[in-house]
Amino acid sequence: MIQLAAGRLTWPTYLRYWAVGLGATGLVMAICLMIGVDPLHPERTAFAWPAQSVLELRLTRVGSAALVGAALAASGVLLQALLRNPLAEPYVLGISTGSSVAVLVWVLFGMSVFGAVEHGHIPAWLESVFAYGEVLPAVIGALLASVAVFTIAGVTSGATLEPLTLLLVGVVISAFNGALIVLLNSIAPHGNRPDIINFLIGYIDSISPTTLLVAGGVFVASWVAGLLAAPSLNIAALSDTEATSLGLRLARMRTLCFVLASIMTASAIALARSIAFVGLICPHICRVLFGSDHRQLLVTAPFCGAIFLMLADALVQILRGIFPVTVPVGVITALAGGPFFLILLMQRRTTLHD
Amino acid sequence: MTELPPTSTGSLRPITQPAFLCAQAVSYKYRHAASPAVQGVSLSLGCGEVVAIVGPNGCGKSTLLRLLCGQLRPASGRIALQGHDVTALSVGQIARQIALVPQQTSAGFPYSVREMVVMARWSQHGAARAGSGGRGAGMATALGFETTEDHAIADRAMWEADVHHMADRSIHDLSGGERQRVIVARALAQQTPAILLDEPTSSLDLYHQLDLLGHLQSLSRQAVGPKCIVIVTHDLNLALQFADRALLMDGGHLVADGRPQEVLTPANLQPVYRVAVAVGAANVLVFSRQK
Repeated sequence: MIQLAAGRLTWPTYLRYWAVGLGATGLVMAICLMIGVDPLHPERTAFAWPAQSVLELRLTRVGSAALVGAALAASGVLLQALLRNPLAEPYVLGISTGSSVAVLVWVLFGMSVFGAVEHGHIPAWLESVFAYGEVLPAVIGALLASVAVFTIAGVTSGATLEPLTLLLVGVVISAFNGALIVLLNSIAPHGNRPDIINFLIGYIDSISPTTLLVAGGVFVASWVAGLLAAPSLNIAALSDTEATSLGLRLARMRTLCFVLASIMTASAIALARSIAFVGLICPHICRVLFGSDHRQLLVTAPFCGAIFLMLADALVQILRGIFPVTVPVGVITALAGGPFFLILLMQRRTTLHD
Repeated sequence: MTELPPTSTGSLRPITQPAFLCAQAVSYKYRHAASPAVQGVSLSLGCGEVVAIVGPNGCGKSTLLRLLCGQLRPASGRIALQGHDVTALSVGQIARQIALVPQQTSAGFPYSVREMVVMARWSQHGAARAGSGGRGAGMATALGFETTEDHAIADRAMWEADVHHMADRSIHDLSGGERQRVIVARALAQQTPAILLDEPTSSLDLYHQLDLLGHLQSLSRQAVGPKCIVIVTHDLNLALQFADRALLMDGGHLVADGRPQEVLTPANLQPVYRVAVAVGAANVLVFSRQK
């Protein structure tokens, strides 16, 4: 196996990860900014640096893709370390869909309630909370979904959570949430209904710069907290007995990581709904390339996620020039990630049976 | 039996009594078990001795070991670490006093051997953060990079456990015995006064069995900071050869405690193991099962 880095993690190596990550992300972002709708022929895809008027729109779109990818990848790293299982990620565990349900409730019902009382009847602070758009309901939904998954898994597998039970419970919760989304959408008043297909599979479109900034702030804050917890993540991925005997307060660490992973997932859901498998593919690629130390993984995987989703979105733009449809970006990640998940699963099977 | 001082939850003080680790009438029962795994065990362990805990399968050896290092809370009785109730200490405080080599280990990801061993130094973080000027004071950077000293300690531990030559290999690519030695190296790198090992020789070849136990024995006899070594083992011959003291357990009870030559006698072993044995100066011979 090719390993680009091994041995001791020191400041120079660590800073090199940051520099390479930032550089590569910036480069891909610049390329992706050049791909988009031709302003003169809306049915065509243009490949050129956009005019000032178009640039802001493109920047929001590409920036959202980068943020969503980074947030999902970082969330995946945290969840995988906690469950000691490279198959864990927010979509598989049902946290993504849980967050989506809350966003849908907000879109269908919350916004109309807010609209009714908008005219000076609510205090200014509450108004600004509402103005954050979908970030707040996304966070609430993600936290509720994690609590549900972990409580149910805890009840079925005892005090120490069995990773396999968690995955199974996540699958069930995910299916449940999917059904809930469709149900809510069909009972809601017609006018508010979003495009349900997009909602279920994840898409990047018409995102307001404010939402992007708020979601970005939320993600960066939880990312910094995650980076500080990274050395403990290395210990947490050992067995319970080993982690405790090395002095790690496992219960506290688990709670912290779940909250952080939920918030990270929510910042992605608020922008693009539940996009599958980014949180699975990117940490895995980085682990193969740079090693398993979570201190570097929490740096490299988010950059990898950002690049991956920006490229997936660029592919959406290119496809739109060829076929007269806009494919949701979630389709691309699911088509790429599904087989990837299965290959990982089969590899694990063979190593388990050795 | 040493009298335990009153419970104190304060920070650890230097040793004020000879016993490093004390158990007083300790019992433990697993949730769905019919009978207790450990019943009324009292013992006192000091620094500078190698203690072997022996007994048949399911006699409560491993449970006792896990009780001693605070991994399990006793249902009744008390465990004292340097006079402090273990259940009142934080896992971090315990990790700076006791290193554990468990029977079952796992790593969720393919860490390198070096990464596994140097993780031990993380257990010293708390001391540095608490400002006690602990050994790892330089490690207190927020991102937890190990210092040169930490790597030197890990390197030495890898030499001692004979895993230095595989430092950059993935833990998932190692054999059972190699992995066992890596875990021992990690425990050594914790640099604690006590090391508790649960069947550390079960997958080791003859060379490494002698190598490991010889090294543990020398750690218990070193002039500066002699260690308290507790080994759960099925190998009575290694116990006779290397232990300063043997504890024989049966059905959750401590049935004998003393010098190995006094504890591992045919009179003691035959009823416990249900086999006919003859014991020489440094070996136990097993003849046949008892009907």
